[in-house]
Amino acid sequence: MEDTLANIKRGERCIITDVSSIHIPLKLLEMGCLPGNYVELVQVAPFHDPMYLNINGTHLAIRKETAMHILIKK
Amino acid sequence: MNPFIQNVLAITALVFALGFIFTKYFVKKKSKKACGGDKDCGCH
Amino acid sequence: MSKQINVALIGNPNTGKTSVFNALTGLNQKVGNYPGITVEKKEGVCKLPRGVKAHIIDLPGTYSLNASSLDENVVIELLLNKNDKDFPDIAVVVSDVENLKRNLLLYTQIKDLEIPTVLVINMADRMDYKGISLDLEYLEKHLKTKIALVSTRKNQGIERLKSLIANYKDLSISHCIDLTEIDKDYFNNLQNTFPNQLIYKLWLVITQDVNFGKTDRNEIDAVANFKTKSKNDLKRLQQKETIKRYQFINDVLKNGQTIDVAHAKDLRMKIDRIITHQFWGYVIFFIILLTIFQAIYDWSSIPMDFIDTTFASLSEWTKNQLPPGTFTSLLAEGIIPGLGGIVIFIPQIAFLFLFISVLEESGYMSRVVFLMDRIMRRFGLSGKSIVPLISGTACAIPAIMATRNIENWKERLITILVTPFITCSARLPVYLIIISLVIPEGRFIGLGYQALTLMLLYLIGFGAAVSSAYILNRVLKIKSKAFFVVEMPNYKLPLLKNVAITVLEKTKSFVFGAGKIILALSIILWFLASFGPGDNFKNAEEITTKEYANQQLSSVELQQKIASHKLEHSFIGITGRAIEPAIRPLGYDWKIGIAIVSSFAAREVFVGTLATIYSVGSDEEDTIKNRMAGEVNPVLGGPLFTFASGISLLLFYAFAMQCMSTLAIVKRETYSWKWPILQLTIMTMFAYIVALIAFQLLK
Repeated sequence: MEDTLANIKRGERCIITDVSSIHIPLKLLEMGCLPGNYVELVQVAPFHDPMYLNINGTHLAIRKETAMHILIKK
Repeated sequence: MNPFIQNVLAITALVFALGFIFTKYFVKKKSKKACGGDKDCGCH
Repeated sequence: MSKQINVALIGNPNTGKTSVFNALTGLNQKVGNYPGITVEKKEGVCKLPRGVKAHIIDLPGTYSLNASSLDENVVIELLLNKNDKDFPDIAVVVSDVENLKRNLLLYTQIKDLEIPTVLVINMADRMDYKGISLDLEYLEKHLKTKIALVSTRKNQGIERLKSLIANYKDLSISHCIDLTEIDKDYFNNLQNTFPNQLIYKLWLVITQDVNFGKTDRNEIDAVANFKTKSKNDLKRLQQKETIKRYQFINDVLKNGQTIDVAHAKDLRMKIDRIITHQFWGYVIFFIILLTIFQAIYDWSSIPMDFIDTTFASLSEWTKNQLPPGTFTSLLAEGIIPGLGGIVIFIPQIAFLFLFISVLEESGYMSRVVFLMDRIMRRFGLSGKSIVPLISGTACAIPAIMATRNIENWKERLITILVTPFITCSARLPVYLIIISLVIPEGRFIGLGYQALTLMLLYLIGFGAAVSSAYILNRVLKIKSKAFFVVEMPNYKLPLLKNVAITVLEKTKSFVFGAGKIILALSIILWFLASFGPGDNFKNAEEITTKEYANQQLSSVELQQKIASHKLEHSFIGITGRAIEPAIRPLGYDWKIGIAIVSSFAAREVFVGTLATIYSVGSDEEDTIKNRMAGEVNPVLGGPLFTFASGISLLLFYAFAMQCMSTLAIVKRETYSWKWPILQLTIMTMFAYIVALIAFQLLK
C-alpha cells in the first residue's frame, strides 16, 4: 500500500518508493533517504511533528511537511 | 620610590590602557583579524 | 630535515572528529578565524615519526561536499583551491564505525577530487557491542586507500594514523565514481570543453553556490556559462550522483562489513523512547535545566567568595607595603580590584561551559532540538534555534555564530536578533551581586530564594527572546524555504579530554579577551575617579572641613566626607551627575549610572566599575558586596540597594543591549548595520521602560 511518510505509525517499518527531489533537500537524500531504503518511525513530538526516523540506519528528525514529499510502501 | 617615578609609572599605565581601548574599538583593523571568534572579543 | 605536511581533517558531524584532532595535537592547538568570515578555524601541530611535522586543520563537520551552510563552504573552498597555503597534502576522512555507510559518501567525494586520502574508522571500541566486524584488507583494496581503525576513547590506532600521514606519498589518488555514467552527454561535453580539469571539480563549481574568490577567476566564469541545465535538472543529476555513490558504497560494504544484528544492542532506541517522549521528554529537559542553575549558583559561590576576599586583602597588603604615591594607589584601587573583577567570573564560566559541552558531547542537545522544534516554530524560530539560545547563556557571540546551522534565512535572522535577550554569563556577575544584596536567604522546597530568582531571570530572558521572535515573525516579510534535518547521534559518554579542552579554551578566551578590556577600563576609570577639574576638586579638603566645622566628626568620618566630596567632583562624578536625571526614576544614583555606561564595553564591567568607584576614597578594603550594602540613597535616604531598585536594575540588565562586541558580530552575520542598530534601540528602550515601571511600582 502506497502512502506518504507523514502517515507512518510509530514502530512501523516501511520501504521508501519515491522522493520528490525538488521538494527534498539534497542533504536528506545524502543521509540515506533514497528509494529502496527502509524507514522506521522511532518517536514523534506532540502533533506528530517533527518526526524522529530511522532511515537505513541513520537516525534523524525531519518535519512533517518534508515527510509529505516522501512516498512509502508498507 | 619617589613621587616622580610613581607618576611616570601611573601615566604609562594610563597610556597603555587608552591605547588598547582605542585600537580595540576605533581603529579599523585589516579584514583578517577583526572581531569574530569568541577568542578576540570583549563580550562574554 | 623538517618538512611540514598539511593535513585536513574532514568528516561528518558526530564522528568524533574533534576527539581525533585532540588526540593528534593535544594542547598544541589554536582556534582562530578564517579570513573575512567568522567560521572557527582550528589548527594544530602533530609530531610524526622521523622528525616530520604535520600541520593539521580541523575542518567544520559536513555531511557532503554539497554545502548548505557557511561552515560547509569553508571545506569545499579549501579543497578546490590548490593555491591556498593550507591546501592539504593529505585528507584524513574520519568516519564512525556505526554509520560507516553514510560516512563513506563524503569519503567518495573527497577521493574524486584526487587528493591523497586516509580513512579513519573511529569508535572501534563499539564494534563488539554493535556486532560489527570489518574486513580491513578488503575495504582498503576496494576503497583504494589505507585505513586506520581508531578508538580515541581507548587511545588505539593513533600511532598507525600518524605513520599513514607521514607516508602520504604512497596513497593512491584514483577516484571512486565515474560521473560520466550518470549522464553521458552532459558530462562528456563538460569534460571535452575543459580537458585539463578534473570533472568532479567542474561539477562542484557548477552546482555549488560558493565564493570562489581565491581560485582562478577565468576558469570559473567559463564553467558558469556551462549552467545550461535548469536548477531542477541539476538537482535531479545530483540525486542520481548520490544514488550512484551509495551503490558503490553498498557494493564495497557487502563484502567488507558484516553486522550481526542479533548481537547488536541498540541502547539509543530504548533511551530515546523516554528522552524524546511527548511528556517525559519535557520533564527531563526541565529537570536538567534546573539542576544546571542550582549547580552554577551553589558550586561556584565557594571559590567566588574566596576570590573576593583574597583580592580585597591583596589590595590592602599592597597599600601597606609599597610607598604611598599615585602608582601605589592605582595598583591598590584600580588594577587589583579590576583584576579581581575578572578572576571572580572564572568559576561560573567554567561550570557553564562544562555543562554545555557535556550536553553537546553526549548527544542530548539534538534531542532538545527535536523536542523543541514544534514549539519554537510557533514563534518563528526553528528547533535548531535552541542550540544558539542555550549557548547564549554563555555568550551571545558564539551563539550568534552557531545560528549558521539554521538553513532557513528568516528563522536564522530572527534567532540572531533575539539571542542577546538570553542571559549570558556576563550578566551573571551583575545578577549574582544584586541578588545577594536584595533577595533574602531562605529556602523554598529545597531551593534557595536566591537560586530561584536567578532561574526566574533566565526564564525572563528566554521569554523576552521568544516573544520578540513571535512579533518579528509577524512583522518581517521575508520569504524563504524551510528545511529541517537533524541527525540524532548515538549517546556517548563525554570524553573527559574534550570537555576539559573546551572548558579551558573558553575560560582562557574570557580571561584574555574580555579580561584585557576590563583591566584597561578599570585603569581609565580610576584616573577619571581620582582627578577632577576646577577648584571644587582641588580644594576638597578645605571645603569639606569648613562645611562640617561645627559638627563633631571623628577624623575617620571626616576623611570619608572628603573622599566622597572628591569623587563627586571628579571627572567621573561630573559625568555621572549629568546622566543622573535620566536614571533617577529607575532608582539609581550617579555611581550606578557610570557603571551602566561603562557596561557597554562588556556587561561584567559593571561590578568592576563599582568596585573601582567604591574603593576610591575608602580607607578600608571591604569586599565589594559590603561596600554596596552600605551605600545610601541620596534622595530617599536608607540603603541605595533596596528590593525596588535592585529589581529595577536586574530587569534593566535583563533586557538592555549592552555589548558592543555582540553588535559587531550581528553586523557581520547579517551584512548590514540596520539590524544591530535596531537591536540596540529597541532593547535598550524596552529595558528602560520596564525598569522604570518596576521601580515605581515597588518603591
